[in-house]
Amino acid sequence: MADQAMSAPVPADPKALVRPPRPRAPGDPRVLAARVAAVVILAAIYETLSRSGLFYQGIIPSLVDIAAELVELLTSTEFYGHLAVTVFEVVCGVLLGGLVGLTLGINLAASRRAGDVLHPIFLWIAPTPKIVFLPIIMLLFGLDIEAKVAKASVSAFFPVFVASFAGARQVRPVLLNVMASLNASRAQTVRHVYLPAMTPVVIGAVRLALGVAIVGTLLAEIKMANAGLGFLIIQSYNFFRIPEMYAVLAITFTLALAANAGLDRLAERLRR
Amino acid sequence: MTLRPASRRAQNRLATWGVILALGVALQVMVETGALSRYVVSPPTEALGSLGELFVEDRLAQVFLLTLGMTFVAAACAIAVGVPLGLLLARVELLRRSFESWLGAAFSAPLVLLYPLFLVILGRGLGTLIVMGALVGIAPIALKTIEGARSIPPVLENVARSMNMTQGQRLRLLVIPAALPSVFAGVRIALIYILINIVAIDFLVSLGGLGSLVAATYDRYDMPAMYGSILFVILTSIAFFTLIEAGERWLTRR
Repeated sequence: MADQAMSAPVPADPKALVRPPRPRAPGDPRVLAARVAAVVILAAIYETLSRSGLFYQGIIPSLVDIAAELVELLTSTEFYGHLAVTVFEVVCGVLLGGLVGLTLGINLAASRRAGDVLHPIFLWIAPTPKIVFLPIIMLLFGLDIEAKVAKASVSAFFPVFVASFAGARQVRPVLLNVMASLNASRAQTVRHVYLPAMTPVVIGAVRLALGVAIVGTLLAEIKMANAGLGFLIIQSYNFFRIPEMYAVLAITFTLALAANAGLDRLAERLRR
Repeated sequence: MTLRPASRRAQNRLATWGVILALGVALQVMVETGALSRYVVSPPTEALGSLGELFVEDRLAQVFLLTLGMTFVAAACAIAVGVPLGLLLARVELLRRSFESWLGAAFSAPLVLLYPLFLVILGRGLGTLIVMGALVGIAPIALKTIEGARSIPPVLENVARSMNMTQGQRLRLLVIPAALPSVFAGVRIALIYILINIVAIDFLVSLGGLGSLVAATYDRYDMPAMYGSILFVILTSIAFFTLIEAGERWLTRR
């Protein structure tokens, strides 16, 4: 069960994932000092490289330039338009792919025969590079926002399906037998047995889905978009506005890590 | 039902292949009857048929070996960084408590998005693929190394101390053997991520591997070849993961 909380951009199967370290060793000043020291040292090395003249002008922009670009981005209204597009695509993708994955996962797990027969197919495809489906998605949905939502959904589907199936198969048979003896319908069993037992699993799966949906959406935006954070990244690359590229990447990573940490905290609370 | 579990499993596996075959046939019929447009979906027979052409005209074998080779080179780099890093963090408690969670964060971060940055620094070449591959592989390997190196039973630690082992002896005779199964698991996870990321970057930047092939067949609007190459990527990655898993089982059994 603990496996499900693990974080991964593209999960293969639940047991293949790495357990996240216990979060927050609270309040040790030496830990804080070590972290601050690491940040300062890394920043110093980076800035030295940037100013060393070892690289072509502008390839490794100074932190000062990046910070200036960051401020400019965060105070421009245009940026928030792109951000909104990406957030919309990711959220739609996680909801759509996640709901389909959850429904299919629980239902296949509940019916022993169909589950045993069909589960391997999904398990095989789960760890493959989902980017290769992008051409098919572009043929089916065009190049607009629908295509990016579709890509995010496909990415989000697999971790949620795999985790839901594994989680549902771990529900205690006693409870299922009780429901069966009560003549409960499948919907009632899902509502009263599966979902309550699986809440931490589902939250963990959503966290995985969010990670892969972010990557899926941004890569799709890089390939074909005219809006979104991925578009900003590739546009600043194409026009060689390198500090802007660093700034967009910094914002993207901050948001992704914050979303991940938020869901992690939620899962932790629900598990207690 | 009085089937023995083994034959039940075999029966299920047979049914799985039956389902895949049925899906293929259904797709074929739908395209042939015009229910699905030929311009969107290629009939499975044509997609499979295109594989021969891909081997000859698009040098599929070479393309495949390039992707596989890059994956292994990147994995070797990730091991070379990840294992010593993991051992260091497992050894020095303050470092572990300070930075293990950073590794976890790196593992869940969308690292693949950093590829334009390395395109700028290293140029549009295989170096970028290797660095990006190694980058995504380091965190899982280091995390699993820490886990393994910290799983040594206290009894053995005490024995090592009572025998006055040097640091080198402790590492060679105690820590590494104890960490190895866990390190293998980390390498397996890393290989999966590295392959996925290399295919993804190659798809976007066209550096001559499997990802470029899928992108190229889409760009020239060659439907059978596009579906054929997508199928090929799916099948090879399934084969790749199956072999790695088997390899890991074989290594950890000894």
